[in-house]
Amino acid sequence: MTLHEFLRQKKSLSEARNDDKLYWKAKQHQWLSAVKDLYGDIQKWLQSSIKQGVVTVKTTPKIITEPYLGSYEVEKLEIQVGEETVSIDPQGVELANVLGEVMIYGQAGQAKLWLMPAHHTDENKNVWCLVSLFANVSDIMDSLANLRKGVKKTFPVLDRNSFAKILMSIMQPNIDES
Amino acid sequence: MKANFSPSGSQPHFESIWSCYGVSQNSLIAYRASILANFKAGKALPAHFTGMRERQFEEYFEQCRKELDYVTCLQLLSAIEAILRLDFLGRVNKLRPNSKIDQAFRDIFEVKTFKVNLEEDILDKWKEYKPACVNEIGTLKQILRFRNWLAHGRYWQPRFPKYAPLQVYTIGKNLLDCLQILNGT
Repeated sequence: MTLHEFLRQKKSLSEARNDDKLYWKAKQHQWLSAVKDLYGDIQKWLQSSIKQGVVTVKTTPKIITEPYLGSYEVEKLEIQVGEETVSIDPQGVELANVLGEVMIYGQAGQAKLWLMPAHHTDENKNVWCLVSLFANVSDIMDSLANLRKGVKKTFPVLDRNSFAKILMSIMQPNIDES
Repeated sequence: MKANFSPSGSQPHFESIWSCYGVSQNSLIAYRASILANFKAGKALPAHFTGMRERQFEEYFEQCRKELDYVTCLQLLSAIEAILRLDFLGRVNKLRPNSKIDQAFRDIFEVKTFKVNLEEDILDKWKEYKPACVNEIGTLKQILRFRNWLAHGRYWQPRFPKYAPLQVYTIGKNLLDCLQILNGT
C-alpha cells in the first residue's frame, strides 16, 4: 500500500464514520420529536381526567446512554392516579429496523412501544406501535416473538383505544374494599 | 455367525464435519461482522434482528457460536461411534486369520448380535488387544459422558469437563490413528 492509498483509505473511513454519526443524530432527533408528540397525544387522551383532577401528569429528566450517541437527556412522563404512578419511559434509538423505543411501566405490568418507520406500516408516516404487553393479571401479547419467528405481523398502532387498553392492563385492578 | 448388515451410507464423516465446522465458524464471524456494520450504518437488517440492540447482537451470536460448538462436538462423537461400530461389523464379517481382535469381536457378536455396547464390548476389547492405545481409549471413554449430556438435551448440571470441538476432533483422530482405523473420509 502506498502512502497515498493509506491516506485516501483513512479519509474515506473517517467520512464513513461521520456518515454513521450523522445517521444516529438524525435518528435521535426524529425520535425525540416523536416522543414529544407522543406525550402530547397522551395528555390529549387523558384531557378530561386531567381537567377533573383525577389524573396529574408531570415530566422528569432522564439520562440515556447509548453506544454511538453517548449520553443525552430526555424526559419521562409520569401519570399519577391516586397512589399509583405509570411511567412513560423512553429507552433510546439504537435498535435495529425501528426508530426508537419507549416503555410504559405500571404496577401490574409493562408495555413496549416502538416508533415504526412509515414503510413498515400501513400509515404514510412514522407511528408508535404496541410491540408487547406483559400484564400480571390478564393480557400477554408479544408481537415481537412472532416477528422473530418469521410470522409477518403488523403491530397495532397506538391510539386512544389501545392506550386505554394498555393502562387498564398494566395498572392494579380496582378492588372495592368497602 | 456373520452380521447381516448393510450400512446406510448416511453416517456423518469425521473429517467432513471438522471441515464444515471451520466453514460455519468463519461464516458466523463474517455474518456477525456484516450485521454489526450494517446496523452501525443504519441499514435495514433481516426481520429476525428487529428491535435488537448492539449488545443483544453480541449475545445472540455468542449463543449461535456455543450451539455450533455443541452440535459439532456431538456430530464428531457420533461419527467416531459409527466408525468404530462399522469397523466392528466389518471384522465380524471378514474375520481375518490370525487377527485376535476379529475373533474376539465375532465371539461378542455371537452372544450380543447388534446389541453390542460401544464402551464395554468394543472399546474395552480394543484396550485388551491394543494396549498401546489404552490412553486414547480411556480419553474417549471419558468424553462419552459429555456426548451423552449433549445427546440427551444438556438439562442436568454436568459433573465432568465440557470439551471444545478441537479437543473432540483431536481425541477422536488420535484414537483412530492409534487403532489404525480409517476415519471414513
